[in-house]
Amino acid sequence: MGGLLIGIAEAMAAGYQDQLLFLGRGFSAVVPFIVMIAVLMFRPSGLFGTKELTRV
Amino acid sequence: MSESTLTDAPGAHRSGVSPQAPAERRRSFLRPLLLLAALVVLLALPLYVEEFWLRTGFAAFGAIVGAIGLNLLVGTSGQLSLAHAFFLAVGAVSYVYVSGEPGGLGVAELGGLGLPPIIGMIVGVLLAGLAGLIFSPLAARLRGIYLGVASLALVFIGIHVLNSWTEVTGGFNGRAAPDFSLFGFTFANRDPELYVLGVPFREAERLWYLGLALAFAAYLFARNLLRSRPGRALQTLRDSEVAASVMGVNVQGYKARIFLVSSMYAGLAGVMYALSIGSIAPESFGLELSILYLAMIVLGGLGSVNGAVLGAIFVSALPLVFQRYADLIPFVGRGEGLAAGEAARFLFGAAIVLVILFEPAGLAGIANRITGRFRRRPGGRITQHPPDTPSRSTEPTPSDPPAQGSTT
Repeated sequence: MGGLLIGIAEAMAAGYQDQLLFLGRGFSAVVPFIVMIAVLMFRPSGLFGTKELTRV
Repeated sequence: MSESTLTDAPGAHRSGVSPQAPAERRRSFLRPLLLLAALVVLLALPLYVEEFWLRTGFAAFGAIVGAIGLNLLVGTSGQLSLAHAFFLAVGAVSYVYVSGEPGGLGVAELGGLGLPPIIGMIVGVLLAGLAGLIFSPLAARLRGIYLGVASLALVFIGIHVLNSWTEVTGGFNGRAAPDFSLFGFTFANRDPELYVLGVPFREAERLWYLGLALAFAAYLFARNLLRSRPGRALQTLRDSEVAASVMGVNVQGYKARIFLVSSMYAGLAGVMYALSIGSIAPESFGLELSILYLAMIVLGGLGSVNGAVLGAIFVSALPLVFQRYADLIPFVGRGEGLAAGEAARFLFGAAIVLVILFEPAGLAGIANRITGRFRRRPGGRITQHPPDTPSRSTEPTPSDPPAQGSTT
């Protein structure tokens, strides 16, 4: 799922490059990182990760 | 607590009356005296030293500020961050944009606000802090290598922005950084012409003093922060988050705040970097810069402010010195052998391996050991107290109430 998401996002950014030109050329290379930050911002343990347990 | 928190503390904590009171008093006088002497030497240096060393010194001062900031984050509170280069870039770019003059240089149309450089510097620091603040929710919730990877993303995004936002950053070729000035006094070659004791004070000399002042302020701030209540809280947080939260430390809050402080440090370091190089370019703010900063603090000793200073001087000055004396050093030089930068990098690698193997506390640990021998401590190591003397500053309760006995 993660791979799929990143792959599709990257391919779409490359495909719609002309519309996204205001974000700069080669934007598709950065998309995976933006997606990652966006995901982590709202779901710190990843999309499907469970909250980590800590033992003392 | 771990040893690294002690490396910068001795002499500052005297709790109660201990049997060695006179010796301790002498030591506590000795330390500020040494600091003062070092400061006087540093202040007088521009009168005697040639320009190359002053420029190297300013670069080192910038690196010191950045390394102290990264050390607060990685060394003290244990959050691995690779995003330092990004925050440096934010600081540098905002300085250049805010105080740079608008104008076109060849193909690119550059914008600029043309405000006084001091405002540019402040805005640079604040914007870097803001970037850190925006990222800090992430930083507060991730841990260890996860945070490293997430912060890696910032570096790549930063490079992309630097390359593509031409109006502000100058794009691929970068743009020149405006000279610094303070209340009409420019830190450049003229305007006003200045002679001190017959020595012309030009750009290098003036920048030296600027760098010295900024680095010293950053140093004092970090040391005082570490000795204060938040500093203790951060150290507990590194040692055990669970323990910290049990003691009433707001884990998420402190993690976010130290990220903010660290990125502000990085912003200032970025401004100084721009001033020292004289221009900014995207490729100088890559992952390599982050790694170099990590190398500085690992070499210097994680968690120690003095160590960060030593490591920063070592890592930032070495390539420049190699470049200058390439002819004198074997295996380095033009034509045959290695390029100066590469040779310096090999040396860092070797130094890091050696440090990890033999002295995990870094350069600060070595310095500590030397001064420890000088003091003739029983056992030689500061962490080992004889059972009858009250152990200073090794209390395992870092987020303690003020009555803990720190006299600072």
